[in-house]
Amino acid sequence: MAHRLTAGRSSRVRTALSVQKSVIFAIATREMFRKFSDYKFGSMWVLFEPLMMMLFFMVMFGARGRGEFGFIEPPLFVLAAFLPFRGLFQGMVRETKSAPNVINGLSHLRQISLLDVMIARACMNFVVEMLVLIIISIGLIWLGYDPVPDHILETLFGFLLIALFGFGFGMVLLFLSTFAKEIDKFTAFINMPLLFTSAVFLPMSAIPEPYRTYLAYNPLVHVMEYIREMWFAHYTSPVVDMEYFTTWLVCMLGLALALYRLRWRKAVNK
Amino acid sequence: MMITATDVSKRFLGPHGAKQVLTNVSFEMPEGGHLGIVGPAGSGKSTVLNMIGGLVYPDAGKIKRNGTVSWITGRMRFERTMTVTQNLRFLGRILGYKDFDDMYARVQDVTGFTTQMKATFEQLDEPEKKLLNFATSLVFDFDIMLFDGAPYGGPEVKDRIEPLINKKLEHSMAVMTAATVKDLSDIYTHILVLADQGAELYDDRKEASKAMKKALAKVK
Repeated sequence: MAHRLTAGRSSRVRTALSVQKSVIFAIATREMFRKFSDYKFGSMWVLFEPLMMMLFFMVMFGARGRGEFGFIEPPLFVLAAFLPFRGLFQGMVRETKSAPNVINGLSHLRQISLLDVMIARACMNFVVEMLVLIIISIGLIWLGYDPVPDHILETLFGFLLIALFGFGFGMVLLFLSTFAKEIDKFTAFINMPLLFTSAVFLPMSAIPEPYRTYLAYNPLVHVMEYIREMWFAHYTSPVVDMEYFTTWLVCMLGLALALYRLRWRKAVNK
Repeated sequence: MMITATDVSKRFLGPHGAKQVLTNVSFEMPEGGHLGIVGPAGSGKSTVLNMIGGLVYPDAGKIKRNGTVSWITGRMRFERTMTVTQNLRFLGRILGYKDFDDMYARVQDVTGFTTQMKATFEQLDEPEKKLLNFATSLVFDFDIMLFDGAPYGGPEVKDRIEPLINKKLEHSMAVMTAATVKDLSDIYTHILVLADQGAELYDDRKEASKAMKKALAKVK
């Protein structure tokens, strides 16, 4: 017994990157397990919420009512709008904002940094949403729809962009709340206006001037419309300006990482 | 030097406002000894220990370690809904230890677990949980091992774990906090006495005892 215990000294020094890589992988697998084994309803809800939304729209507008949505069939429109916005954008905001709660349970391991937890949970969220997309798409194909994006790679790129935006936005909200706890109350309230001003329920082509110009100041509108345009080749958006969006994205991520560097200890109380 | 602290300051924000715990603390702990940390209640023993372990960061100054450092022995936390092997795998991944089968075998050597390996953590009884907690510290090798007080629970855990930990300390440095110098066993060659937000490192027990008495008298 004793010889076994003293065998194999593992005090080798790892590079920071290899530590981070293994930590992210470890947390992602652990979170996956927690999400899908313990709380069964939680995992079903991921699938359920977009399905409910699609049903709601089909009842409201009729299964084949195309006109309202820029000649996109309602269930497909909901899938292409609700999944990226709710699942990816708001999902990422949720995952990054709640990262300090997760790391509090792991505070005995110094290898785990807040950013690792955020990245792991964000990656997990992305994978889960993509699985949801695939499952729902299979269902839609079976019902006779054509949910396969016309430009698959560009659509995926759009998903990635909106997810990154959510990641940065969530980080900014989190670190702002370290300055004053009251900011949390405001940020909880910001989700609703974002939902209604980000071209989620209606395509921009259905919104009249001058509101179209006002809404176009919202960077999320552009990426939502980009995804829509790439998904449905016959839809042409009147506003898409990806340069505007990517400028926002880069600034947002820069601000997020700067705030992280300055405020991460405040966020985890170290 | 195994542990070097230079001008370390730390304060905590508590319910009664900010409290300065350490001010410009410096010490150098050489290789080849064991370090005990003593001081009156609230003098920052655990804070220094946590800083050496990289769990708490100094507001100013630096703490350097020359080697790998453990978590605080006996304070590993497990995910209660995951099985013992899943918890170990998580830990192995964090520490970059890839040989999972070897890891399980070592844990089984220490704890004597058989079917318990496949049980979730919450299904274990209290002594088993304790045993597993120490076993995780024993299967990985660290240059510095941290102890926050004498960590053992009941005698069934202590009898099994203590000789193994002592054997381990032949190769690693121990850092332990204690209420008084008497609570530290003879192996602790160096004693850090904390008082008045400062710290002094002694390599003589008698002098450390004296300094500790003085610190306690001041508090009273």
